[in-house]
Amino acid sequence: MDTMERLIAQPSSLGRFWRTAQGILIPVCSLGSLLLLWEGAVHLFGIRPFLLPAPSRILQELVATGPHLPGNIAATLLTVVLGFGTSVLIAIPLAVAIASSPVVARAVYPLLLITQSTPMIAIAPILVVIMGTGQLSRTTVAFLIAFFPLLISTVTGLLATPREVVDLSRMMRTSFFQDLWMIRLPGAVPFIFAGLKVAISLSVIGAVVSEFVTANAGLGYLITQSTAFFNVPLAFGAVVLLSATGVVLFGLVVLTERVFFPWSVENDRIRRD
Amino acid sequence: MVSTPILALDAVSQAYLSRDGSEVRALDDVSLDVSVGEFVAIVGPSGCGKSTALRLIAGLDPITRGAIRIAGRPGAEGRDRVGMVFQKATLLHWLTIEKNVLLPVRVRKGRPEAADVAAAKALLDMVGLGQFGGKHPQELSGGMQQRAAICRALIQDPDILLMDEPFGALDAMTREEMCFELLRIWEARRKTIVFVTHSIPEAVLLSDRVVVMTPRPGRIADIVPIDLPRPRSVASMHDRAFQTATDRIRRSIYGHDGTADRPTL
Repeated sequence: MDTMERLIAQPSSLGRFWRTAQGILIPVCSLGSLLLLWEGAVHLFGIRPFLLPAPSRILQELVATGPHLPGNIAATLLTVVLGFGTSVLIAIPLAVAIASSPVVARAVYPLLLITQSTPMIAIAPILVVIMGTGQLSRTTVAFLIAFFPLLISTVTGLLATPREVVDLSRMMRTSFFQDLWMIRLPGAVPFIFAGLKVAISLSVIGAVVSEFVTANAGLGYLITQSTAFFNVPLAFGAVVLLSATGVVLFGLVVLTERVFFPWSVENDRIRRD
Repeated sequence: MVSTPILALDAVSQAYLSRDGSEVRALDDVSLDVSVGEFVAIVGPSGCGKSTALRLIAGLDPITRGAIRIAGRPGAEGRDRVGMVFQKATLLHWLTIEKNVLLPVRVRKGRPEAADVAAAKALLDMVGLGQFGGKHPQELSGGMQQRAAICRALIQDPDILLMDEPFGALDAMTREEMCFELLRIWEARRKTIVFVTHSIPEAVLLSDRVVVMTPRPGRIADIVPIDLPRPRSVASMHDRAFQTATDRIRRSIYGHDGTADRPTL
């Protein structure tokens, strides 16, 4: 049983504490010194705020705009969540169809390739003409950008089932849905989450692009509006909020994986070791 | 052996078309009867069709000619009486060991009953994995994983256990240990076992009969009865009968006893 003990053995709790502390301390220090450098450079060289505002100035502007921010954040979040949600609802069933049927795969792939080779930013204004200036066209842009990577990684995951596991499934005489539900989909979970992490970040990009084209609220809208009036600090502030939104949403996806599919994360770690 | 064999291969051939369109015969006219409770090993160099034979019995590949009968019924009907162990343990890493063992039950009737859970626990106890039912496969060593895979193959209480080089991926020491473990399981459960391996000593140590196959096309070259007393142990390998059997198998594979210039294992 000594192999067992070796496998289960973990580093001491003190060592783990140090590793965690380092994991937090190092990024905080590097980010903090970058901000300080920025602040110092702006004051030292007297750079004017509409060219490069200091971090303090950005913060100041954000606080001043305070009451208007929640509404704008909410508008962007709505587009992100709707676009991301739609891409999940469409990409995963479609991936199952593609992975299960060569006919579907051949029928769908060229179409996907064409839509994906077309820059979404180029399509966005056209979509607005077709779908109007409402939430529908914004959601569609976010969806179109987020959808493809999720589809591809899900298909890859479904097809990555090892040959012997496929044999095992056939020996047990699983039905199509049993095979999908008990074997293929759980096996694809690490791939699906890799796709979801890309998709959530791309949804944010899609939402901003759509707001550049058509919106009367949202962080993207805030950027176009404030730059039009040379309020560069506020534009920077909106960008900061956007990144923060992106980081939080990404974190939520990571958290979902850790909470509901701990073995997916674990297995990843083992494979890397 | 007057009773009908539990497993009968009747002039079974399998052929497939290669890339250039020519017919490749993986298995040519193979006939074999296996009786209830018998331990049969199939040995041969790679490409001799030994794994193909096993896959045909399991119903994983189509037969080109001939017939397979399981418990007197055509192969396709008797398939649920067959359990299989692969070279890799193929445990699902998101399930615990116990849930992996119960997977075939879940596939067949949805939710395992208390009796099934008890059966899984008993099997795990038998192979010494009693305390590991709640662990995940990646927390176990290769040999332990393969033992769990054997439990999974036995959970439906099949008549025939098919094993496709089950210890081929393990290190030499674990491999030897697993052989005796398997013999113990076989003594306890008295399953009919068809065991494919490329190791001649392993085949002789384990089985009642060794089927020797030669490649291109895959054919049975010899069927060697093993007259070693049971239960077998490490001492069995020093028995004269062990030497005689391995020599005979080597001769039918290499054309001589393999001691001159050929690798011995």
